[in-house]
Amino acid sequence: MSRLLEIEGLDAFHGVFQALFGVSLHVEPGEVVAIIGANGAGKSTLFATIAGLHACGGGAIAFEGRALCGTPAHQIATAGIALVPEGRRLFASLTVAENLAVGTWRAAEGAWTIERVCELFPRLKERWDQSARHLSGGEQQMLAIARALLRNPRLLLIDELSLGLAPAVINGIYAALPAILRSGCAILLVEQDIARALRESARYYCLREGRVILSGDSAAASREAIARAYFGEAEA
Amino acid sequence: MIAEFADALVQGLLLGGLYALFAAGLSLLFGIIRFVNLAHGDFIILAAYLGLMLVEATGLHPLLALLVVPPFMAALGYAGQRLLLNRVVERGLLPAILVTFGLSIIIQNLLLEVFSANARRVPAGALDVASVALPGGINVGVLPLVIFAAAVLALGGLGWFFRHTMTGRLLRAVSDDPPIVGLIGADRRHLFAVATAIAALTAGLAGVLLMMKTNFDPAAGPARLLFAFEAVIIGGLRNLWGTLAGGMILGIAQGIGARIDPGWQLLAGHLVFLLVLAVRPRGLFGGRRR
Repeated sequence: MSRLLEIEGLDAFHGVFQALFGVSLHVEPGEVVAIIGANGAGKSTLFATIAGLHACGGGAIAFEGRALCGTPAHQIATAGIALVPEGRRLFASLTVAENLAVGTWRAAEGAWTIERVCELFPRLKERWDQSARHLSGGEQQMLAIARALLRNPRLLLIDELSLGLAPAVINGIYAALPAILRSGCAILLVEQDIARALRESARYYCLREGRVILSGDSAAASREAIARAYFGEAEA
Repeated sequence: MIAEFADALVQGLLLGGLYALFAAGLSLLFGIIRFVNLAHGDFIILAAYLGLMLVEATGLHPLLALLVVPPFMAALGYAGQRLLLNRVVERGLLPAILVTFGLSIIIQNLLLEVFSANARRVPAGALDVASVALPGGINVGVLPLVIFAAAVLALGGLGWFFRHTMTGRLLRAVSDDPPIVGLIGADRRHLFAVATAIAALTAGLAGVLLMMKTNFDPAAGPARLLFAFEAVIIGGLRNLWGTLAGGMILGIAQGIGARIDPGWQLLAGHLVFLLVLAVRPRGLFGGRRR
């Protein structure tokens, strides 16, 4: 009962190409879970499928016991899952203030308000009336996370948190995760940097070619086993 | 001679407001849903006939039709988008063009069946002949002034709506990235329908204003569509005030052309349009590609 997200045997397709093969994973309330894997392993497809941007091709996704496969994206967002998509996908013709304002549209009541996300990422206030397309990569990522948090989700999916960002900027954004967890929100994140992923998460799943090939507690993870899984030499 | 051209200039400017209103609905749908509504001109003429029916049935002053016809058109637009156009808009430009082309033919033939091919106009009573004298011996009809004011108010209202309301911002957001609005809990199919409702509202306004201003018949839609295209392209996409300027330039060109020779009215407008298209294909006030 207590599982926040439970995925069983999920398949997904891009046309005739199968991107996910029977992926099973779960997230408990308040947990940070990392998804690792090389490019093309299906991580972004997995996230898009959970959020309803991509069709389920088979299997089941349950969020707080409610089946999500076939539910349109806007209803999944309302149910309590927020996605920070790959490439951030901000509304480019809207200002920072307007991106945040639309983020509050029909959002659930909760800890996150526009003031609170600006305390979390003070840079946003400095860029308030700028168009989102003029932000730096780090500022865009902050705005994308802020926009997602404003929905007051119980599960936050962050795809490629550190992609294309400078190390100092990445540290700054990871420093915000504890505050997000304290608000009662679990986090499922895709991270290319394996060491970083294991350090920030309680558990991990490693994907290769659309399949979960390794999973476990991050603290007990063997770097060698992950490296082998990553590059396709895992036994079993 | 000078006074005559000054008069043509003023009349053209005033007519331009109406053209800008024709154009607003067209450019709004192209901007938000990225589809070209070939039936937009026919929506305008449909609204004019609805206004005619209302005035004939109730004896109301035609200006009061502004309170009834545009909201009715908006409801029609919303339903049409949900039931019909949402099925095609995300499959590329061509299917939507074909569907709206079909709609255009259906509306024209429906109007022909119900109202016959006779040209109609709705008299606006005392407004038709009232005029005010401007310095320099130019007389301006009150009706063209009212039409111009209504058009400018409508355009200004649209601009305000897109900047300052939640729905307006959501519509700009869906224009930027349709699937992603789902992530903030918004249904893009609903937002598309709201955009079409607003475009149909402007067509309703334009139709009621047009029915007092000129003769119209069931086949008059495509010409309005053409003026709308020309105003949008002269003024530049995604710029409401540019659209107003585009409408005015088209109106002035037509007015001056008509003074030279009545047969030149439309030709002069088309020539100015072609000139702008050749010299500044993004329009006089069009922004850079983003």
